[in-house]
Amino acid sequence: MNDILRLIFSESFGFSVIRLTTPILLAALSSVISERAGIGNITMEGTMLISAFIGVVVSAYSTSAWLGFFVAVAAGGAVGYLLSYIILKLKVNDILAGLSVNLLGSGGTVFVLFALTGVRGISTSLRSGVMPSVDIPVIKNIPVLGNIISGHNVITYIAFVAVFLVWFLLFRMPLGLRIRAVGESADAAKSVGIDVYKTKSIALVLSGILSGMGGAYMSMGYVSWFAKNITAGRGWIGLAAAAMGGQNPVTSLISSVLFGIADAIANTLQTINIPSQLVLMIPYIATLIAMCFYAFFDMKRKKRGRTAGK
Amino acid sequence: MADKFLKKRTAIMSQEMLDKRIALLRTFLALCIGVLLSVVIIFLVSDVPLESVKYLLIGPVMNLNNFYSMIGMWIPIVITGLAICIMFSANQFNLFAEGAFFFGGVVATMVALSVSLPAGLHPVVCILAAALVCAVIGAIPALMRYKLGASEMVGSMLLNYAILQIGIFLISYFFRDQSAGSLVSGIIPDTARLSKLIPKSDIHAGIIVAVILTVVTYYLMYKTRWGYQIRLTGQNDAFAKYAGVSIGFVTLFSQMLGSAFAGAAGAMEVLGLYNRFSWTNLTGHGWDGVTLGILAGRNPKYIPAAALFLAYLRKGADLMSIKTGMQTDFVSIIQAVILVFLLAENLLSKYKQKKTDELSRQLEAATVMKGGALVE
Repeated sequence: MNDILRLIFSESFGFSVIRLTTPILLAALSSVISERAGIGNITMEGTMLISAFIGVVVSAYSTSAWLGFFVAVAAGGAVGYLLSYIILKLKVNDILAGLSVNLLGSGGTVFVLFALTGVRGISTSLRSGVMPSVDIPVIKNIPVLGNIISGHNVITYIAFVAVFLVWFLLFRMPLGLRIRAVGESADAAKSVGIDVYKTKSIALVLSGILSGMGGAYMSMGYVSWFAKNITAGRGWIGLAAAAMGGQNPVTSLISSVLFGIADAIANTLQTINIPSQLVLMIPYIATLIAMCFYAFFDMKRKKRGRTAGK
Repeated sequence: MADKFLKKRTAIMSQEMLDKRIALLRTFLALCIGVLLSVVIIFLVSDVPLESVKYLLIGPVMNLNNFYSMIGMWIPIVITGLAICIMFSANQFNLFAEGAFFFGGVVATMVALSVSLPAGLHPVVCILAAALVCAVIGAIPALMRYKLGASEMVGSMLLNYAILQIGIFLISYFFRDQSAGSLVSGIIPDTARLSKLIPKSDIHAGIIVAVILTVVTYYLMYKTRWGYQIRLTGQNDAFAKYAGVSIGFVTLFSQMLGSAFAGAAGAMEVLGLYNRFSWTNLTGHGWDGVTLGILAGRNPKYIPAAALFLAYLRKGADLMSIKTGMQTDFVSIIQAVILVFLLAENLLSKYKQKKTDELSRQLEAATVMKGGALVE
């Protein structure tokens, strides 16, 4: 038990919490934007897989990690646009459209990977790039904190900055107001001259870009290859985090960190003699339980609000 | 008065028929696009495209072995397709079918290896145990939605990831065959295995269950009060509630039943095809069920035909991969594309508009000819 505590109260644990929060946070922000625009976007998992794959392939063939990253992020945006076309123009139910995109992400990436490399399920034969890590000046010299906060992958820092950017976009910019307006009531928004299709499309593209960044992080930061199902449900955990954060970027950050901690605990415990399957289960079970608790208290609060209102 | 009523009735009937015909046309179009896209992908990727296309398109019926093996693939997805029909009909996007199929196999293996029973009874006990366990687990997302208002979809997905680890844990720590090189269970006793209907083929007794379940599910969904309540809840839960339907019971019941179906399908797959449990990953049968549920428009009646299409495509892809080295994973691309086109309400909408206009003009003319005024 002492061993476990020592492992958890260490600098490297803090470091790995931030590292593992990154993809969940990006998926959560992605969900926040689309939910605010009134679309049940569940494609984080699939979009992340597609971007993770494209990042690896482009960086390998162009020998530029940055180019790979940008193309991966753009691909995420493209998936977002595709989704908006399917949902808004072809009028497909958003959940079912999302399921199709996820299907495309999980099977399509494996298929194209094989077509390109002749290897099934993993991209180690490609010499793909990795995004650089960044040491933050000044902060890196602070004891303990420096070792936890500094030295992360550049995408991690982008993710944490994105929390603020998404908040600023949604609550301080005209576009954000429009996004929230079409989300609350598309008809009312339309009546004051907002182009609903355009606004929702923009929201979905932004959402795709954020998911794409999360995907690129998985294959070009977290690890340096693409493997079948590399995201391992982090898109879904991000969705849960956004729901727990009340579709607000800042509170979603808190819930994402919570799930990042669960993930980091699982990673840490793997070094101890516990059945690995039970350890791997922790993030999912923790998310499930947290979702239930949150929903329970949220419901209670709403009930109380209703009776107080009377 | 009676005459007018009759006329109105025929008008509604025709509109329904038109809707049906358009839906059929759209399904057909979506399937064609899917097949066409497969061919295009093969030509892009394969070294021997013609050979590959040949195996994809006629491979499953080229000889009896292939055909039997295709039917073997048909059995489990019919049942998971029915499971999705039941769950999605209540408008509950519970995706636990994928995990339930896997875990059903785990439970069946565990029961098969730990109790000894006479041959006829043993598999039945294994399958029922699998169905029961999966029904209980499948209730979790249902309760999350109904009691707490949390997303049953996200809940069921997380459950899928967790159940995979639990299943592998159970097999590898309690039922693993240590002498085997890879992670497999001990040998499942002959008494627990499902008998083959055709010797040395993949067609096992599960096919009978699949056919019976199709009929039973159709009857349940369209001929009983429960089925009506499930569908009503799915179409308009507020109305269902005012009509006195217990929403909680209906959604819970449909998701437990669906999960039980998927669990039983997984159990039969293991007991029917393998002599050991050897899955180390989720199998995709639940996702196939989702495709089928949508392809069949959530109507159990159409599941067998839809499943035949998918099994044919999968077997064709399998053969192609064996004979020409083309990968099978492109089937999921095709699935995704078919789903999108199938669900696209706007596809053919102009055609539908035109036809509806024509229809209503005809009806109007008929009414005028009969001397009936168009006033209420």
